[in-house]
Amino acid sequence: MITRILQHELKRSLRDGRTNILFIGVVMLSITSIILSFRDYQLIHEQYLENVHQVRVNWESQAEKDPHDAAHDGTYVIKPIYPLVIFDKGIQAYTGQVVHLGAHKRNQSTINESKDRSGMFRFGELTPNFVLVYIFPLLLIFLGYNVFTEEKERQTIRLLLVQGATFRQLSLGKWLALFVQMFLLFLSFMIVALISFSFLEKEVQVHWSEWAGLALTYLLYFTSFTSLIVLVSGKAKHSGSSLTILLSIWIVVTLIVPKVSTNLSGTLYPFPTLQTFKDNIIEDQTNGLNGHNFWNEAAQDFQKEVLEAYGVSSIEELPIEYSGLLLAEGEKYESEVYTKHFDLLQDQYKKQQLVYRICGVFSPMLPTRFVSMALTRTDYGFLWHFEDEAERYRVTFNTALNMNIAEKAKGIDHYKAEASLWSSIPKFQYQWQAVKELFLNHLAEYLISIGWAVFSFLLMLFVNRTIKFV
Amino acid sequence: MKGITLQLIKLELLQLIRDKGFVGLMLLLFVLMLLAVFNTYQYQDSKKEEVIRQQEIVQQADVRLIAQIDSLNQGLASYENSYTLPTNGVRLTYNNHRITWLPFEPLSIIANGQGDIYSNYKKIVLYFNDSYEMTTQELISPLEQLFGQLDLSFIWVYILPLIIILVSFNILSQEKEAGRLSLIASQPLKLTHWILGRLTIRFLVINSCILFFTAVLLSAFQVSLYRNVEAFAQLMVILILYSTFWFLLSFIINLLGYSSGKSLILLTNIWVLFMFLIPTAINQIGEEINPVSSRLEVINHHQAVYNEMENKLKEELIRLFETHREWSSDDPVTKDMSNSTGWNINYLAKQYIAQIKHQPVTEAYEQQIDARNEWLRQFKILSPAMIMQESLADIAGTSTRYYRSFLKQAIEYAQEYRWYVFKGLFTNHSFTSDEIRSLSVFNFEKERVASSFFLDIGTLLIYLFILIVGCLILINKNFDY
Repeated sequence: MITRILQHELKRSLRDGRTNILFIGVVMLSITSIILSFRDYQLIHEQYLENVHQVRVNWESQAEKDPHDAAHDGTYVIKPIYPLVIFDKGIQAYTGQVVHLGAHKRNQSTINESKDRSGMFRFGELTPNFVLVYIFPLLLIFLGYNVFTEEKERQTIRLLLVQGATFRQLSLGKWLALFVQMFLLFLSFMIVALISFSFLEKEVQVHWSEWAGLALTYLLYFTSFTSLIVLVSGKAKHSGSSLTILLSIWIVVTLIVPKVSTNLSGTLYPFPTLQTFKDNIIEDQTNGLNGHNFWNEAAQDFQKEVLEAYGVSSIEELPIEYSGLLLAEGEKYESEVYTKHFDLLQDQYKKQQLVYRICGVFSPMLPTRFVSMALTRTDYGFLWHFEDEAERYRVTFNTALNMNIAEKAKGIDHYKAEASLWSSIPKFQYQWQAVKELFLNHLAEYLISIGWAVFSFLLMLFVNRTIKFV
Repeated sequence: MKGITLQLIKLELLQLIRDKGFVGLMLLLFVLMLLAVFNTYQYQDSKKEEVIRQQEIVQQADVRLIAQIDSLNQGLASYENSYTLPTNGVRLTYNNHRITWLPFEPLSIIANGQGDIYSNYKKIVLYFNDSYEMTTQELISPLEQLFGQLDLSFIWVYILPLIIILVSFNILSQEKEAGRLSLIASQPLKLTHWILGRLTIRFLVINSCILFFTAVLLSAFQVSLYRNVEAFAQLMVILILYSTFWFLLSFIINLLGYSSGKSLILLTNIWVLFMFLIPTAINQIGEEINPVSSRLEVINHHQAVYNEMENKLKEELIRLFETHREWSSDDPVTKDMSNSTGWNINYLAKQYIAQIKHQPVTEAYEQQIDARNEWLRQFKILSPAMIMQESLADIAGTSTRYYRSFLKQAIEYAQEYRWYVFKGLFTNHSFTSDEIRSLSVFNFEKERVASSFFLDIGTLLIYLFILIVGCLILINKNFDY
């Protein structure tokens, strides 16, 4: 019986001109979004490679100078782009693209694309993720809002019951029909995305599990919507009221809950102001080691340690330039303080993430979005990881420059390193987070999505075990 | 006829009051507006506090410096080195920065606009690369920026049209589907007048609710409507025109005579079109037509210019002091790199030279951004939602135009300030307490952001005119009785 209902529903959809127009519209939007994202990626990737090269050229073409002056002038590391960005741009436009690596200071990434965009950018971009998160559920609603109400309005539901169908079979059959339509559309979408992806120029190999992970999260999202649609259509008296309720659910799920969760997370677990953040760092650094302060207690202790290690009684007797050692050690200490405070910020973000997870119980869009952004490396977790890696590199980079002073500047006034030093500093190599780690970090989101899909499905079966009709 | 009309109004009002769905929607609207105002108030309050805190930091640092200069002049304090003297310009390099800020407009609470992207203050120090750090970057989760804040602007632009659609999509179809249409048609009242009448009452009730909710909420959150009558009137005009647009659209769909489901799908599709598809398409086309290179290239250019300048530093410094003769000095302290004054002069001169050489590239880049934004602004006429959002952000003073104008003005101020301090610092001038007191203070010139209110109103009126013409055509075609 379920198969017959499924066949009947699919035929009905195929014959419906309105459905076909909507289908064609969404297919065109999907293809356009994939093509645009493909082009965007190519352009950004090209710019990324050019600029990374230019940053290095600039670094290596510096004049002879004091290595610590070079450390102050610093260099830049540019945030890499993961090929799956063609799927979801996530928070990319709102986060910095580059980190300035200088002496004594950890900088946040800066140059946000959003600052160069007009306010109209806030309406969104036509990306595959936009189509999947907003348009696909809308299409599903338009396809399925009247699966039951139409039968009720035309009284055909009586005929179906007379033929021996139960309400549960009807619900399952109609659910399956809607699911199959959605699945076929999504499958075509993924095939187009995969074909485009195969033409991309990329340095990183994307593991199949990442594609599977993406597909699974969106399928769970659509499954939740499919069940809700059949449920509402079963309970609503008229097609109009069914559509009204479903549209309201769509608005709450896709527009209101994400905004409310943002407000809640920011209110419950706010970040400190930049000034407070900086003041706290300065407070922690005040009595610590600083490469330019020879006189405080920490510097005196360090000096004693160095002298003991070399078995000499004064700085002048040291075989190396002491100021270089102090700068290198000071840099490590300062970086530790920065790391401590940035970790505190990350802890605060983890608390915010918990709020988003709780809000995910009210909107399947949230866990879907978080998994999608994580797998496409466009989420906050990626930004933190990149900035942490950049900071580790900054310490290595500064240590190399300061140790050059320690090793080469002894007895030389106004020491200037040869230009060859700059090219001897290793390049920044970003190590992408392991896929397994990403999946584990977002297990909660998957569980919420699965919970949504299973619960909404069971609820649909339970609520639609009897359907009222006049 | 008059009697019937009055009866219709009475009946419709009664029906609306008794309609749980309608009352529920109005309550929902109020709750959402309350949440939005509360959230924006909190958010902007913390931003205002931060601006005040930054102003106080500068003021306190100045007070300390003035006190130190006075103590020195009165012989109450002594300093080991000349470069640690409070009168030395080096102090203005590190300890006494300036502050520029964008003041909040009286009705800023209606829209966060770009306020979560830009900071409302910018520190002005003597050395920095403007193209690297456009504005002070507050610590904010980018997720907040991605999902956006719940503010009144969001509710009015996105949710209000949906509420209008939900209360008006089936005025005619509902009666048709319930089989009451022939009864209504038998009344001595034109069917079109009957639909229009019902819609007008809903329009009046919804707009009265919005006016009332807005007035109450703004007053409750310390916005004086009395002192800001003009801004409030502008807000109301734009809101009424926007809601009229959606009501007229709904009227047209009603006149088409489709079923409830079809009418709702059609209206929702139009909503999606204006809210998502047209804006995203315009953004995309805008980028294609006005491509802007990556800002990373600008940064790399600065770095390349800096290296080039360092390689020819002597010549560059000679050229600098020839151009700015008032900055050159024979004082040996200014040439001695082993003291802080000399080192700082050399360092700041290098930064300045690089910045000046780099400036044309930065300016060209900013012009490209402005050109693209201007292009996009022109095409906002293609969606009433875009007009509405931009207009609300303009009234609130949180639009991109406000922030970019602020940044431009801040950079101009920074240039003026640097020139003044460089003159003193490079000549080893002893700054007096009066000079510190009279350091220029930034003042944002709002007039430099041209108002687009009348243009927005005009465009919305054109939309209304088109819809009215559409209504008349449909009435003549479908309701010739």
